[in-house]
Amino acid sequence: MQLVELQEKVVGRSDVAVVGISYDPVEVLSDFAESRGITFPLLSDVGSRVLDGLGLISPVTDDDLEYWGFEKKQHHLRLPYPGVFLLDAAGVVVEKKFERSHRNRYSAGSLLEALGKSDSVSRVTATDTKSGVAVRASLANDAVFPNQVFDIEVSVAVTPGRHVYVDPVPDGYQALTIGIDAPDGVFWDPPELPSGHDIEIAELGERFRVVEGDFDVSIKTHIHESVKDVSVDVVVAYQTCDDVSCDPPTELRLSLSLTVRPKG
Amino acid sequence: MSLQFDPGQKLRPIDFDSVGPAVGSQFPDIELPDQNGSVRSLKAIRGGGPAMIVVFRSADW
Repeated sequence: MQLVELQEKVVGRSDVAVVGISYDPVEVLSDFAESRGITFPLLSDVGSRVLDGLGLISPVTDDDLEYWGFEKKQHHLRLPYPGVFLLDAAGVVVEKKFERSHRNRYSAGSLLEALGKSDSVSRVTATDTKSGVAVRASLANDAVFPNQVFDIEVSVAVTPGRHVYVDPVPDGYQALTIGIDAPDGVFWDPPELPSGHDIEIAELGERFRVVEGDFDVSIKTHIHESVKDVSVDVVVAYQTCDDVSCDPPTELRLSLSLTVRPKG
Repeated sequence: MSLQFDPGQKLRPIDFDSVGPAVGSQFPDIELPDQNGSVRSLKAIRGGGPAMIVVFRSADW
């Protein structure tokens, strides 16, 4: 549960204020705060007047209700989009974290990092180097809740003077791919890779698209509630070359061990 | 490789850029009662620091 994790990971451990807002009456929020140990303010917007004024009320369709598996009830017809606004010290919105599915919420670590508060975050990290490429994979949590959305950050450093290929590549060459190998129930979006630049090898009469130097990508991930503690492998496949010769295609595999917490 | 699947993709897409106060804009000050019944303003809660505002759909489902 996002609010419980924010209580544990943010309140008293950083200078970031946490504020919840829902359409629940005060009594419901009071019971909830007491049973879950929430000490930050949970604001009660009965009738959703303030949420509506902020433009956060979503019309709910029959398709939504069917997807969620809910009977149609009056209080389901106008609901706030669930999500998080991140404000800087001046009160300006620096980022909005919303997900289409209400089941997917961002982790406290991801939110702290988005506010530049990485120091307050416990990370899980793995690094390895092969064939002129160093890769660091990490995530801003040591434990995750089912369905929580978190980013696995992958930093890649290609040795100066060398490059890796990106698609499209001629047959027989290995283009850079970055993905995840994990048991069923670990869901991830393929990261956006750097687009690189073209080089032409006159002797071969071939053009290649290559990436040099350092770059970072992030893999948006979440874990189904059926999964217990899990090892997630970040797999980076590539082939490095310099102006003269190429290494054979290879891959680096970095394992991140995640504790999956019971649903709060 | 594990299956790539985002449950949210089954739902109609929403442009969240246009939902609520925009990135780069001042978040409006709001005043509402908290769980103890005390009226609180966002500005006072922040106290000149950064904040996370979590919009959630009821603690009572």
